[in-house]
This record gives sequence, C-alpha cells and structure tokens, in this order.
Amino acid sequence: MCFVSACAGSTGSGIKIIHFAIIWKYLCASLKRIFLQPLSVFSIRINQISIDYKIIDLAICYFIVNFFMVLAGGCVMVLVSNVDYVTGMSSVIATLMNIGPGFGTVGSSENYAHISDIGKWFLSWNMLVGRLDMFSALVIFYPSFWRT
Amino acid sequence: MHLLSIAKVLVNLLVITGVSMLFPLIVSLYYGEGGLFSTLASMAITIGLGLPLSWLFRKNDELNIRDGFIIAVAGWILVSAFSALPFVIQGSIPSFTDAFFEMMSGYTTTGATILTMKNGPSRLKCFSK
Repeated sequence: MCFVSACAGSTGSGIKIIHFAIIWKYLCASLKRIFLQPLSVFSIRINQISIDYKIIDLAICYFIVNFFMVLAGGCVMVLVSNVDYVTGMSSVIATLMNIGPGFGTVGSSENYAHISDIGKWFLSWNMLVGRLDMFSALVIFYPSFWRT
Repeated sequence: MHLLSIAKVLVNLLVITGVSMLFPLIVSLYYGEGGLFSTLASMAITIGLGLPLSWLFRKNDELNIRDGFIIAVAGWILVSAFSALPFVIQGSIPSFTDAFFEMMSGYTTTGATILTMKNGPSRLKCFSK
C-alpha cells in the first residue's frame, strides 16, 4: 500500500497515482498498437486532455527508478545493517516514499534505533532523494552534469 | 557553475535556520524542561557562522539551473546537520548520526524516529519547517 499511495501534490513522495494512470493507459494503447492495429496512432488522455510524450517518458522513468531504488536499497540495508529482508525493504520504502513506519522491526510501534550508523545515513539520504522527487537529487551523479 | 553564489544561498539558509530556532526556544521557556542553553548555543553557532559569510558573499548573484540542483541537495543536508546541533549539545541524542536522521525525517515530513517518545522542543522543531 505504501508503494501505491501518494496523490500528486500531497506530502507523500514516490510513485503517484497519476503516474500509474498514465503508465496503465500507455501500456494498454501500446499493446493494442503492437498486436492488433500496427498502423494506428493514439494519444493518451487524462480528463480529455492529451498528454505529451515527454511526460509519459518521465512517468515511466520515474516508475523504473523507484522500483530499482527500492530493490537495491533493500539489499543495501540488509548488508549494512543486521536486519531481515522485510525490515530492510520496508524501511527503504518507508523512507523513500516519506511514509515513516514500515514493517518488521521498524513497524508502527517500533523505532529505527537499532539500525546501524551506515544504515541510518543511507536512510537519511533516501529521505532526501524521496523528498526531492528522485531526479533532482540523482542528477548530480550524472557525469555530464559536472562538465561545463 | 557559480560556487560563490551557491555558497551565498546556502549561508542565507543557515541564517534562516538559526532564526527558526526561536520556536523551540519559546517552547523550552514555556515548559521549562531544560534545553535552553543548547538551543541558544546552536542558535549562536548557526547565526554566527551564517551572517558574516553571507555578508562576505553578498555580491554574487549569478545562478543557473544546475546550481539550483546543487543548492537543493546541499541545502537540505546543511540545514538538517545544523538543526541536529541542539540535540548533540544537550546530550538528549548523543550520537550525531541519530540526531541527523531525526532532523532529516522531520524536515522531509517522513516521521521516522529513533526516539521512543519525543519531547516538546524536538516536536516543535520538526514542525517549524
């Protein structure tokens, strides 16, 4: 439920409902074009307003980045901190999507005190990345960003 | 990339952080639970570091969009680090890592905590952003 939570403009971060709506409509239209009507031209509409392809690209990239950051982050948490997989994965989801409590030993009646120091720095970084909506924080790791 | 302009914005952020520590100060005065000295000390450190530097960098005004990204990332980290100072000075959260985690979760509205129960100043500090 954390993974499919926030509305656009709410305080939650991570994948928004509107991203899922765009991706789902794009998926249906793409499958239709590939398998049923190869010559068709389609436009994705939300509220009768057609969506630019740049925005569809951005939504898909956003989904992929979120997905892999959660998977990779869960593995990192299990490696650097002595927790089980449920705790590691859900702590990354809870911080990346700015939820708060997760499952396992970071559940709603527990706290994050037992996670190791490296794990805490990593989760703090996850909160920052989630709050800045991924790309504006991750763009500083792109090599051509630093070239003038 | 305009390093001096970035520094100017960041030290201005520091000054704002220092001024916003007034709210926890009011709370600690009202409840009288202690933490007065630590809040005052970290306020002095933050503003004392921020004001002279912002006067030093006052003439740098050029910025482009890349500098904006750097400011966004560095500013969040800087503000969280300086907001973590009162807890470390007071000793209620002795480890800087824990205090930083706590403040970052406060500023990003995550709400993940390492404390079993929050006290007044910290709750208001998290809220003041």
